[in-house]
Amino acid sequence: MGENLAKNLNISPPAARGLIKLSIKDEFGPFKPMTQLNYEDFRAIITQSLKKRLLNLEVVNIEDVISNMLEDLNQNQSVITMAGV
Amino acid sequence: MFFILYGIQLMGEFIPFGLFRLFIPQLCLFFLIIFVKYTFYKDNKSKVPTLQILIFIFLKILEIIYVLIYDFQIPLKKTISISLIPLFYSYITILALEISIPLFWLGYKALVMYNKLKVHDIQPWLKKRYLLISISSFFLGLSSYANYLLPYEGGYEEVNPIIFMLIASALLVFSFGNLIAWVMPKSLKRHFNRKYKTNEDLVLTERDITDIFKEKLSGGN
Repeated sequence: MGENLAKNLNISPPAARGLIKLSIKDEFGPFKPMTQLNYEDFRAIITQSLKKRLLNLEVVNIEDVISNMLEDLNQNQSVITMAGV
Repeated sequence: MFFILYGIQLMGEFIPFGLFRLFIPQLCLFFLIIFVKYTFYKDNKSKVPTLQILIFIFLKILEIIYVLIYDFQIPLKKTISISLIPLFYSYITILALEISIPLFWLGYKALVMYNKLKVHDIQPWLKKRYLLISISSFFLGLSSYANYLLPYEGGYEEVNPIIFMLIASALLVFSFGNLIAWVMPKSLKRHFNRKYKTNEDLVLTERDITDIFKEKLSGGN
């Protein structure tokens, strides 16, 4: 997800990963481990907190970025199950 | 769920379950289809999972009909008449398709993901998990066709020990492959990750990220 967001926003992968981590924190607080997040949680993160952050950062084409992220999540959804066990 | 049902199915080889015998065999494969659906196809409009379920139900009904009418099972308990031999092999075909289609599907999806993740910055042990699941699924799927080598004479003693070993070892390969894949020892994870360098060394704060975007915006992007 980080790589995809970095490519979409033309920023470095660590910055994109940092943005996703902050969005996770916004959505679920600081204590929920990443391995406990499921597909629906990631969907909520992308469509709500990440979208809000991108709006605040005045990113253009937010809808395109969000739909691209959702598509990436859908394509790679099995990683959530495989990495979560 | 798959492994619990597979265990019950194996118990069924030794206990006469009556009706239970008709429904338990391969029911674990139904749960395998559900697993693939919820692991790879959430929010996906693909018709493949529905098709898989329909094919499985169709084959299961055919299998039950064969068992009810001809009392077939693998290996056969009693020798069948020559006129039933073609039907016996069509029963084996039904079983082989019933077993192999879901397993090949899982093996294929896991292999596609393994190849896709090769270029991504993900811990290698996770990629190996996909590979192990893929190989073991293909192996068990293929082994279901070894049932064609079983004799139409009845009794376990008629089964060639080499063929019996081949079928049994496929189940063992699948079980151990999945055991290692899903309950991977830490030492093995470390071994797979030995050349992997994590990118987590750079920790960015909220301020850093805001600055990156401000810089990007002032740069005309």
